[in-house]
Amino acid sequence: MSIYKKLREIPDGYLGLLSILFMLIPVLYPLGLPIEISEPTKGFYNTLMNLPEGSIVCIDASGGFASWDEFHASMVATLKVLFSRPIKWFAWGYGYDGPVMVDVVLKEINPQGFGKQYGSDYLVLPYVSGEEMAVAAVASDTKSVFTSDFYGNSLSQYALWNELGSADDYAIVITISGSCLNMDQETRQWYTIHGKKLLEINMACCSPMSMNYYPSVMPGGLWGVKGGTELEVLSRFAGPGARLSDAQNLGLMPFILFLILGNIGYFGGRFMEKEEEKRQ
Amino acid sequence: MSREVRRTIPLWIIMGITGFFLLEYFLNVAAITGVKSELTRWGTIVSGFMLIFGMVLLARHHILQLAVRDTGMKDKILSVIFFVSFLGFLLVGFSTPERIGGANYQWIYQNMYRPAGTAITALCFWWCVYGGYKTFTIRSWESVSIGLGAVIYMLRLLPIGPVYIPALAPTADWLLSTVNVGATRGGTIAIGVGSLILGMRTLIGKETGALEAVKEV
Repeated sequence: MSIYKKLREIPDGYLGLLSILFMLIPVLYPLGLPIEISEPTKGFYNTLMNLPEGSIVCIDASGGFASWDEFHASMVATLKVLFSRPIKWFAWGYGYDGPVMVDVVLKEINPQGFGKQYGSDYLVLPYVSGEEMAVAAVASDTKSVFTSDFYGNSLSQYALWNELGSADDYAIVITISGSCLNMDQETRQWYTIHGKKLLEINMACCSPMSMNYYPSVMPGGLWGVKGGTELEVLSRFAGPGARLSDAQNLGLMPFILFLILGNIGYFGGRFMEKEEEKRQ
Repeated sequence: MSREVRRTIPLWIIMGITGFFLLEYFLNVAAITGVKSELTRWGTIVSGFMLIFGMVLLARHHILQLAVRDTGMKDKILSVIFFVSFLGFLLVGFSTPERIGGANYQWIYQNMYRPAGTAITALCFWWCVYGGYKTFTIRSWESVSIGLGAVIYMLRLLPIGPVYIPALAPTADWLLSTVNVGATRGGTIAIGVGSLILGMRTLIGKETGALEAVKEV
């Protein structure tokens, strides 16, 4: 078998093994590779930092644990930024993993360390079924949708609950989703009807679709591990992003390498075939 | 029930509610907005019941797999696994007053469901990468543009890419914000127009896909 054919038929196991090895190195020994902050991340951060005191932020948390590493760093950094400001927020989800993800992140960071109290500064509401219908219901009349918080407690005891009403009462909406069509849906329900701008946290592969709405509807966004790492650097709140982005840096390199090798194999093979035909 | 009743009643319900939502959007009348909010809330309640309906259908399918259908041992084992996990999560979830917020449910959620989901995504990444290796070969001008765009964007996604290749960031950002946005906005508008046409056809009864298929005896 010629070298070119071998390059075209590298078994998938080698590719996977190489990617895993490359990703393991920074997980075990963080490399601290440099990072450049992108404009959407700056927009995300500046929007949150410029919110007036006492603003209420609505978090549509609907990502999934299957892509946890794509959201983890972004969610940790975002909640830390929110806690560092004199603003309030509440989270809910039209995806069943969303509120659980928020709960996991809250257990990881220490809201009390920021001087924040559950029920008066932040609230975690449960999952609501119905996808876009749920978004529409929460946007038009939040209180009519929920009867208890994520932990099963009655909502009337919380001071923040009494301040919630509809989209008009919220300064901005942060939408966390694993769907590349998320911005279409959120724009329809929050921006088109109520004029509320959106900040998005999504997977890296969804940024091309979300860019449709940048910057007029969506002043900023965090996509994938890179977005979370950038926000960590910008906000100076350390988190899991640095280690994960190092892994991402190195993990995708075998893919680019194999892509180049595959094309070398393809063109080399075609050249060899043409040479063979000429000889015959 | 006659074919007309099975088609006409749902169609009139859809037409009525859609027309009401359209009216509410264009007329800013408090009474209409109140009714629309109530209908929207009922939509979430109905959606919740549809979840239960879906669970019943799923359970019925697996009961039939186990007890009635002539399936192989592998399918029967998969159905058993389904019932064990389904009933396990259900019982643990309802066993404490904290429900899904309770420690036991959170334990199985974080230590069983979450790693399983992450593993599936990791496998998808593996196959996507291998698929890219096999298919991103430069065979035509179209594949050149796809391959080049993919490589440039992937390098841009890597935090280290723009640091060591300074020209990468403006190039990739131009591709993303100008070329990509132009194309995807066109696609989004096309989807919007198509959805409008599909909705109009459904409203006037020309599109039967949204309604139950009526089988003629």
